[in-house]
Amino acid sequence: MYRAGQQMQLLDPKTLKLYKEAQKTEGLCLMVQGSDGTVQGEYTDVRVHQMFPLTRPNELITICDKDDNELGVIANLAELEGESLAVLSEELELNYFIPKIRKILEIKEEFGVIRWRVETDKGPRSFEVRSRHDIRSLGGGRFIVRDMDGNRYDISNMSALDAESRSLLELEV
Amino acid sequence: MIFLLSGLTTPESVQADLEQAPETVRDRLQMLAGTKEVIYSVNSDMNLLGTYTDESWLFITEDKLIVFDSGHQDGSLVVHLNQLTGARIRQLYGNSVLELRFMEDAPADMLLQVAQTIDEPDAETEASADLDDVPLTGPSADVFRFSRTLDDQMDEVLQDLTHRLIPTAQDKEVDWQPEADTDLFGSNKRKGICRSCGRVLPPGQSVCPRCMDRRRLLGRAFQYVLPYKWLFIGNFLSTVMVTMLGLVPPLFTTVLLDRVFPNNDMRLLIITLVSLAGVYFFQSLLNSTHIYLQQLLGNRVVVNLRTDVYRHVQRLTLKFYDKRQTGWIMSRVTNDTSYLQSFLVNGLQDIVIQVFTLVGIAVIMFSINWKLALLALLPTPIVSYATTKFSRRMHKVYHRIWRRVSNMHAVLGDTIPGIRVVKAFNREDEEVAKFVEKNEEVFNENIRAARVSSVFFPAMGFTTQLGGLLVWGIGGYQVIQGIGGLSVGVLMAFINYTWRFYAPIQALSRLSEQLQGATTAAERLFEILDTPIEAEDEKGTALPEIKGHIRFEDVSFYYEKGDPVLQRIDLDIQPGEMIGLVGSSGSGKTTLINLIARFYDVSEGRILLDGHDLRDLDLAFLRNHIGMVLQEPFLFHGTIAENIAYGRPEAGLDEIVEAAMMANAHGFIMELPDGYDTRIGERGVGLSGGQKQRISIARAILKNPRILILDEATSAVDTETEKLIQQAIDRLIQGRTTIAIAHRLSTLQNASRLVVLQDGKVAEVGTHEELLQKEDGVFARLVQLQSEVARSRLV
Repeated sequence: MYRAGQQMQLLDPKTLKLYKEAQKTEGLCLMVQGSDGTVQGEYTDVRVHQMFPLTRPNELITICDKDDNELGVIANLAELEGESLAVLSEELELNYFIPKIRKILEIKEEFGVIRWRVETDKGPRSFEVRSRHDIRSLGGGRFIVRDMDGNRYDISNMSALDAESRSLLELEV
Repeated sequence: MIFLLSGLTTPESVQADLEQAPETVRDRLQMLAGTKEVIYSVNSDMNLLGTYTDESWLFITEDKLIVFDSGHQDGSLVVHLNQLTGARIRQLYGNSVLELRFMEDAPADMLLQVAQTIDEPDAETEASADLDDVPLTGPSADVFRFSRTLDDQMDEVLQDLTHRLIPTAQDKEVDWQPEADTDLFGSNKRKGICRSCGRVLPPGQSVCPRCMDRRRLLGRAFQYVLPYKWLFIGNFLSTVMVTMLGLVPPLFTTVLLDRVFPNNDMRLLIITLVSLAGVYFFQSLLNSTHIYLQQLLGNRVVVNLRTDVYRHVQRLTLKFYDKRQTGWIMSRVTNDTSYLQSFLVNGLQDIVIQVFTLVGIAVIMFSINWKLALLALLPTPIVSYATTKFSRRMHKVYHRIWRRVSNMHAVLGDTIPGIRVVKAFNREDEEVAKFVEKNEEVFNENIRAARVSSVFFPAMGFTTQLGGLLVWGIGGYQVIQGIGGLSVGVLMAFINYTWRFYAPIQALSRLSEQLQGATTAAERLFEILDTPIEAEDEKGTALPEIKGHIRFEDVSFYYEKGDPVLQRIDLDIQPGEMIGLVGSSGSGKTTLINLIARFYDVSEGRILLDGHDLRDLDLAFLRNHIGMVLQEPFLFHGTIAENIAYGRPEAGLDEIVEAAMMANAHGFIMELPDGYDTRIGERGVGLSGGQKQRISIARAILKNPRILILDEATSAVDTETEKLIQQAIDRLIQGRTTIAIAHRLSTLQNASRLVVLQDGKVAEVGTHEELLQKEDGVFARLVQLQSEVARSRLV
């Protein structure tokens, strides 16, 4: 939990080490080292959150301890290396599951619900969208679709879709 | 005698007033004023007895005030300015009087001394004589009376007069200065005056109806077409050619009937048909060009026009918005621009087509048989007369329809945003009834229009059909009798052209509806475009930096003349100081901060920022340095990050996050699944009032303004949230000049000074403690009241 009045505390990526134990019982672990290499803090089961999961997924990532106290902020994922980068990416992937829509097979309105059938980078999927307001434009041809259950789907670039998908999508946005 | 320019009065106007004065008045004046220059001359429209007359005059010279009025004894009054301690205008119902206050120790006879020495040598009898209507022996007296028409002029006079009195009055005991009354009806009332013709404008309007008619709407609207003149010319040429080609086929009918069929000429038949096919083909080709170009042009123009209107609407003053409903403005941007599009593109082009068709057919018909042509065109005057009549009628009808429709829109714009109130008060049925009423009015008005149209068009059709029958009859007779060498082919072509001739006339008459609708729309659009925007005339200066020193100098403000919201405010706010504005609702607190942000301009006096009059500063520059946190935080559709960065779209992500942290908003933002990318108003994202408020505080923090305005920022939230917000605000106000309005007096404890407003005036100024110690102080009473309320709640 972020404490009221706390300032943004940027973490120096060089001092961080993110890892997972072999047994994976402790979840994601964080070790903070001082400049001389001494261990200044060790946290197990830390949580990571993207501040801008849709527009800047790789920037400003907060790390909280298991009680949700904010430990600090990583300015950019790219500053990390090796295992830290790998486990953090994995963790974020888990936290933020937003499949990318590659192809739209069908968008059909029935009884006030819009049913989509799509192919995503995570496989084929069909879902229901409540209204056109749930298709949100992020600009530059990017759309985030939210289905009735709150799942999100990413259309990274409308113009990169095939003509058929595009003509289906154009009717909705 | 020399007439001197002073104040706002031009020498011409003094001169002109004097020249209008009858010779007797001028003679008397010269006698009384001597060699002194006349600075002001006012000719009232009534006298002290309340009778309309043009014989009452007020003159001010360097040292005297001279009044000619039959209400004064001997019809005149002369007062030495150094006998006066004050003057004011008392606003009465439908008229006003100038009231003078004389020096306490001034002997009554002295007042009339000058007049006496000149007019009446016998001073002693005068001294004891009281004037019938205006007792001059008292310490004050009404000396000049005038209707509200002269308010402006007299305010000017009074200002100058007061100015002249002050040096004299200072070393005397001043107990009576021109008070609020003079401010109520200050000279600053801005009656709208048409810039080109000088007429008074209708209230709430900025376009002169007289000049509007003169200004040719068509020409002005056409300016939007000008940038695309090649497109227009191309479109025009294709239109003309389509029209011309359309006139060719009947000529082929003549060939078929007169040469092909009588001679059984197969070859000529084929040639004719092939030629006709060619004509049709080119006609279609040109037609498709024409349709495309027309749409291209039309849409381009309407998009530009809409942008222009919207841009203008954004820059209009709040005063403009105060007077109008949201639905009205929205309808201007959407509906009226579309109307105008149809006018500019379809209407204009159709006129061209129809006119060319008419002329072309007339030329052909007259060259074939001018007698028959005359006969065929016999109904034309009737048709065109009826059309003109009809279109005038329809103009009114369409205007009424438009009015009804916008009334209906207004109901929507009113109730839909206020739906919670509607529900809370169980007023759904009444609101529906209200809507039904407006909706029915739209129906009735449309039916009225339909009634007129339903009679007009069939009647016109019948008239022209009769004309056609006439041609058939007379032409047929000529063919049968062989008169004038008229052949069947020529008659057929002629009949064909006759029908074609009436089509454009009817089309033109139908067009008039559309045209009228569009003209009305254009009028309204240009009304908006002609409304002056904020700070239009000035290119204000931008200062290198702002310290945040705000100074109110004798500031008064009123929306409507006679109803002051702020009166003679003098206030000095030091850089970095936090001022708490306290007062009951309606005491003018919000108005005061609106003046600082220059949402409105002061009516009198001035506000200085770091020594510069706000009106001299660049408006964008000024507002860039003012941050506002309002009672009802307004968030736009968009993400939380976008809302925080509203005042500084270029801000970095880390800055946005830091601002949110300072505003105590980061915590709840990170609990939302999309974090800072969460879209406001999205389903499932219900932000509480306190959360919205903290976002709006973050917005102000990010903007980093030198001057901060807090209008009841904490009043709409619970105590717990208030603490969070208060904390955020405390961080926000660091190092900024802050003006805060708060209902809960406890929230102003950090204020360096409190300003208590009462009825638009500054009642008290001081620190919290100072004001508390004031017995019978306004603030002390407010605090007591609030704690009593708090106590009673606890019980």
